[in-house]
Amino acid sequence: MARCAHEGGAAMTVSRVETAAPPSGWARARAGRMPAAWLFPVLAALLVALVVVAAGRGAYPISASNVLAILLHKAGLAQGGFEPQQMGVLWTIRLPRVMLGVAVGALLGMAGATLQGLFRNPLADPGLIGVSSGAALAVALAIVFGNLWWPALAQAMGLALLPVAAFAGGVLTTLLVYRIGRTSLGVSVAAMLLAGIAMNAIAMALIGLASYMATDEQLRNLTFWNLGSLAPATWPIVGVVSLVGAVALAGMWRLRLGLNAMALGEAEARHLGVAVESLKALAVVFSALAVGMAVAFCGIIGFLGLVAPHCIRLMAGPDARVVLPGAALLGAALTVAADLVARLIIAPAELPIGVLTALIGAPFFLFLLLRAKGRMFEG
Amino acid sequence: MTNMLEVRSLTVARRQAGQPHPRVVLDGIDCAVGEGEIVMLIGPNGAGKSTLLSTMAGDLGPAAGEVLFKGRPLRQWAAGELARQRAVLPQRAGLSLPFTVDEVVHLGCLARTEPRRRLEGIVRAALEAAGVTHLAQRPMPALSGGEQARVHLARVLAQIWPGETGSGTGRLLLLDEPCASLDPHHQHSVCTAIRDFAHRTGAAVIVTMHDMNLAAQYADRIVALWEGRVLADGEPRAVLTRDFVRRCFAVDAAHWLADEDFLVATRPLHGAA
Repeated sequence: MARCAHEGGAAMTVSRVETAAPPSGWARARAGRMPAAWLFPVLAALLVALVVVAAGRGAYPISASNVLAILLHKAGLAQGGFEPQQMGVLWTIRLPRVMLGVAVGALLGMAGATLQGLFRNPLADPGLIGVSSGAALAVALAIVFGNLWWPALAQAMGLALLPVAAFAGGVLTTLLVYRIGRTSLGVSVAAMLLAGIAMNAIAMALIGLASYMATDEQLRNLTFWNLGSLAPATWPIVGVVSLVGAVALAGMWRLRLGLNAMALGEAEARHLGVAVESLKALAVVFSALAVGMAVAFCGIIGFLGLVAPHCIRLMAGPDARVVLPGAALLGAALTVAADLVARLIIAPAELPIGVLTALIGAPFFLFLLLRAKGRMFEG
Repeated sequence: MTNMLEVRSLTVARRQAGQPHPRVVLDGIDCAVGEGEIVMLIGPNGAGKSTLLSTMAGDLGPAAGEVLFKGRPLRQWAAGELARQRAVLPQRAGLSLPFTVDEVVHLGCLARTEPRRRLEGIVRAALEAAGVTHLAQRPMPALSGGEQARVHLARVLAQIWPGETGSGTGRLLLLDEPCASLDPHHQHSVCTAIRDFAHRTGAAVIVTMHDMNLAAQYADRIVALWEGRVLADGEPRAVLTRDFVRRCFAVDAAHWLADEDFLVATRPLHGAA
């Protein structure tokens, strides 16, 4: 703060010496921000490179040049340069999986950024605060009891049953955690995380209960939700996730200015002209839609929604106009990379991708929590 | 002089933990502020200053009575329309993400309709007025409390700074304790900035203020609250008499004039006996 010192002379001059407090860790990290004009091309290039590499690697390797040749062939731009069997593997197995990873990663990354804006808290994550498990619970209930109690409806809804259930579960959990964690100053980290722990515990217990009533086939379906996997990818699933996901991404992108204003507080955002109630409702709906789509087809892939937005903020600052699309791109890249490692690390078997993201994401979260500890009770 | 903001027989009750019935915090308040006028709300702790300001801002709903902005009840104004003509500075503004000073002041321009290039000029002018131009590129978490308070003042000034948005006059500024965390030098520079803004733009300003001395020097009119009622409403020199200060704040006051400025100092009551 400024210190005033009276210097000699008739005219009283006031010299102010700015002795600023040493910058905090956050402050230091922001000294060199990457301009958005650089960030997006770099992230996009990274994502494309990862897609090409991930599509080629596996039990049956395809070189990057052959991957490109096959893609060009499919696009009708070039002919030959690969073997037909390569095209079969790439087109029916690898590519749907990689593209599902891109879609799910983008959804989780942007949903994390949106929830952090809504909760006014950079530690919110769909997995940690229980949104993912709420969605997973709804999916489990739909699988087990849907066929038991109302098979006609379950049949009629077909591929839509699980996403609809996941979306409903996600919305309900977000609202519940928000109500529990909310204080007049914002959402308390402690209350939010505790509510998330409780939601996770309840969801896991009920999923466990449902698994006792499940048939063998249903059981296989259930266990995979706890850890997440991109293995069930097919083109129809990629299509559904991409279409509905595009709606969710567009919906969250429209909230960018309001989410920025929310950083100042709810009342302040209202004074700045933001329709806060509708902003909050839309943020809940679109983030739950995004998380619901991811969970319905790939199970719980944790920590992406925490790690991706955080890295973007460290690189380019907290402006939602940069963080929302940046987190989507980085989330997609991280998911494709994690799935690649999950497939290769113990080949020919594969790890659930959720195990990998948790192994990387959980220590990252602990690190953030340690740094934020001093601010824990400020709301 | 037309009334920008008018409060009519306002009663506000707040529910309190462990109490079965809400407590009446404001009881039949009448007051108004006109164009270019600075009204300062003073009163002891718990008199209802901040509650009155929050009700004027629309954050709290009145149990009875009404708040009129330009003759129209506050509830009838659309959020965006209101934001282009009225800005509110809370007592303690939080920030959940590490924006820079420049970005925070830009946030104030959310409802403005000018093109980006013109906004830059408005932000620069607001930073200058609040005396924080030199901090523009610094991240908010690295600033002291007093510096952050001045940045938030720049933000609300930028929100209703004259420009193409909400053209003409008719601006209102509500400030809750803008000087609370400032050193004496910055208390005066902030009050001067507020006065310059009001006189240049014709904005009506309502400020809650603890410091009677600052209120005496910068207010066009003082509204004194005591236990939820208006105890006095008038020019500083007429209101802040020794008797009044004793009754309202239970302290002894001394006044003097320095180059036409009206100064007030206080000491404990028993010392005066």
